[in-house]
Amino acid sequence: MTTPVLAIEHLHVELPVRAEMRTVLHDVSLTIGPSEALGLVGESGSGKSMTARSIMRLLSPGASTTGTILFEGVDVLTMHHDALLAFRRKGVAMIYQDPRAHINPVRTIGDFLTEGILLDGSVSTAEAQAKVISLLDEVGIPDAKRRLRQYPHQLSGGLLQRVMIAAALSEEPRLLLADEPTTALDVTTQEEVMAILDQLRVERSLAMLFITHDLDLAAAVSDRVAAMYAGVIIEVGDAASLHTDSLHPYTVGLLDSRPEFGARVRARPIPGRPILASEAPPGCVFAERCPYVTERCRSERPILREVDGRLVACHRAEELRGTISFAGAQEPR
Amino acid sequence: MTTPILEVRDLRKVFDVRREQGRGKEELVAVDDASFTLPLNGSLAVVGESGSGKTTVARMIAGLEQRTSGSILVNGVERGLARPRGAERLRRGKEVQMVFQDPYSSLDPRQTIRSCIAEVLSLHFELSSKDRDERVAGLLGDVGLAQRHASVHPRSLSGGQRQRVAIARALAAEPRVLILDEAVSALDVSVQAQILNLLGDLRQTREISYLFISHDLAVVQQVSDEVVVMHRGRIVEVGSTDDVLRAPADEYTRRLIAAVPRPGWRPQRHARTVD
Amino acid sequence: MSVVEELVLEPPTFVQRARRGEPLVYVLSGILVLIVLCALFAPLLAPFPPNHGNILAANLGPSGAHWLGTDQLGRDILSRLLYGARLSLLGPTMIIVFATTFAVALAISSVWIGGWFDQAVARLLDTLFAFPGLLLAILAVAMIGPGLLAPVIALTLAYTPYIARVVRTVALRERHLAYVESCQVVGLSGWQICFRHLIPNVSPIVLAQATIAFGSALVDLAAISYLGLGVQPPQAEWGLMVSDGQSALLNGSPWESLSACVMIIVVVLSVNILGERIALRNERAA
Repeated sequence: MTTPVLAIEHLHVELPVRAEMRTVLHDVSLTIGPSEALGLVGESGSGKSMTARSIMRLLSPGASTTGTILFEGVDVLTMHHDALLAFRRKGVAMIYQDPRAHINPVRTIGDFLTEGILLDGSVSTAEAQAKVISLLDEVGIPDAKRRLRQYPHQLSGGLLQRVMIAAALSEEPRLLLADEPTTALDVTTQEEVMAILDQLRVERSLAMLFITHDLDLAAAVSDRVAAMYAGVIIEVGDAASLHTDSLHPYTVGLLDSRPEFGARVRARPIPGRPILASEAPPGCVFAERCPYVTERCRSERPILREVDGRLVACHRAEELRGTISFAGAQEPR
Repeated sequence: MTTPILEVRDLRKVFDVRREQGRGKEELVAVDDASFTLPLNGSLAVVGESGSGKTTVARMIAGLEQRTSGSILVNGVERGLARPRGAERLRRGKEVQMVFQDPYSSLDPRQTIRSCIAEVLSLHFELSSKDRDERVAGLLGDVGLAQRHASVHPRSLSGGQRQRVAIARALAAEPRVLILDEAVSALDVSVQAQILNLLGDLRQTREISYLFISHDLAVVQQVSDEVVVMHRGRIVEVGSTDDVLRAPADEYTRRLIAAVPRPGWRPQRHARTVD
Repeated sequence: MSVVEELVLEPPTFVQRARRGEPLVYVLSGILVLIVLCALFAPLLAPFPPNHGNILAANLGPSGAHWLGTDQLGRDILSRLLYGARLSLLGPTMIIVFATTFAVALAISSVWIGGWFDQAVARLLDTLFAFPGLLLAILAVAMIGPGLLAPVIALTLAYTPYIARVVRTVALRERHLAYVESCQVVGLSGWQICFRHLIPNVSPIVLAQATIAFGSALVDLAAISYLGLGVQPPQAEWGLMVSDGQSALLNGSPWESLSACVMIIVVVLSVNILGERIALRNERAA
């Protein structure tokens, strides 16, 4: 068996909020194989961005982390300074929701892109320029020479996000973390950016963790999709069968909440509001909003286990299979 | 034929913007001769991407932005260009109300939910304080909030609950037209569906017409009978929602629909001019 | 969509804040309250009348009868310090109350009306900025004559733009938030929106700004008195006491200048730190 590019095991993270420790991730485990794309889906506060930040070790000071995050077999959490720098520079690259907040506004696109390549000292400025121009060409930005002299504010959000993709790929990382990279973009731009990201990823056989709130988008560009709720991974399964074979009531509810395109039917929303990881009850995190809740669900937190080739954290997965519906669920008060 | 509750004719908005390079100003046409009608008790959606001018159209109708030219008719009566005063301002408040996108900034953080809704009621109706409290309770019930929510401040409510309050506040004036400017797009998917259902239910029980401003076609399909597609300030297609989504006539509409993720969808690269 | 933001749901209560270790805020507030009480109840607290002196008992050091000694005219320093708090605090209070009122009125109306009016107000504030407060005060004294009135008028003018500029920036941001716009759509008048919504929502920033300005105004007024242009002898005022005590200071009895200086420093330091804390809390809440 090959070593996974990323293997997170029993990751538990607490952050200090006003002198109090609040849990943001409960016992998260997931793996990403070589050249595999894993979609990580959840609503706000579910912990999906925290997972990415934990992998980069970008949590705020004072955070308490237990568990392991193995990158190609090496634990990121115990890496020393130099190894961590090398991991961040060469091993992994990240693309953010708001590219404008992650690019220095007073430096040109060219400066930004060549900075990382020149850091090595082994490449001349001219070579770096040439490499960057070919990268921009790959992400579908023509007239790259002119773009290199421009400043971030002169580029639209879609173009800037492509620049970020080019920057992420310039160091030839083995793992790409994409945190809601298209959420701030228009749908047509989103399609373009996602298509580019998808194509380049496949060409370079990169592993990717793709974080989004959009199940359909995650399913379209990932091999497997993991759903997260209140800091817990509640289901992981094949992306292709997400819509038909989902087992967890939350995943099914999320799929049903989204109005189906092309048919006008009343949505069957999950009652209540999403909770934060720190508000999670001792039992199943979804118990409060689940129409199939039992006494056991409230007292014992289900662990992620295999059912029908998918991983699901639900006590009643087998018996509920294929019957889950929120049609009769009470509208929230 | 009955008078439509809202009609806009040749609506145009030009902004003066600073030139990026050099001095002076240049004109930016945000809305270019937009015309459409919203029938009584109808639901019309204006869809488009950022920069399409859809929000500017909504803001002009709500009176938050001055139009450059064109006319806005509410219930057959044209709205003047001057800033409304006194009785005219109140009359307009009873005609058109608006729900904004961001639930976190659309309520005064220092007001309790009760006083937030009661403020609108006492502005538009002469009520005893007992009647007013009853109306507040009724409105909270209508939007699916519990009575205990009346005495809290917005900060202790979730985004979805705040948006319900914003809807209740808008309904308090008993308007004929409710403009929903991206009113569900900042909400989580599971909460979004709740609000969409709520809006559908409210239309069943009240005489109210919706003008829905959105970038999200799947949402639009859920709540609107008719749709207007805008692109770079111009209306490119108008029709019944089902027709437009099933058989779009305009090239841009087709692109827009093709870009919506759905089961079995794959993102495609399109050769097009880079902006 | 950061999780940390989502977590901030309820603001901490008074007790929680005290327990979390902001004792400094409480100590400083306590000191200020104490000083204000001393000023109010000076006639009850002062062991001697402030202007009653015995020239034969001048420049005495601290003793059982005179805790802080006596000045060059034999007046009890402690009594003068207590009475002095009245004028020393009244001056800056008047300046800050007037300046804040003008500043808020100017800033809110310019933000609300906008257009050419906003431009005109901005230019006016720029012009006022160009005048240093102290010079303006000296000019006013030359025109009106020494006393509290002239410096208060001049410093009110000088402090208005400082407060107005900050209020204008914050009000401009609030002005375009959806809750203000929804008030417009609902049909509230401009007055109603400004008084019920805009001003209450900028008030924390106004408070922070006014508190910090209070410290500077106190120092400015003390400096004017020290120069002999403000409050005139024999009235008790801290700035005046610093200058009065100068000759005694050279003769080896520093008590008058020193005690007045300490009072000025304590008050200014306290209000400045409190102002910073208020500003910091607003930032966190925003």
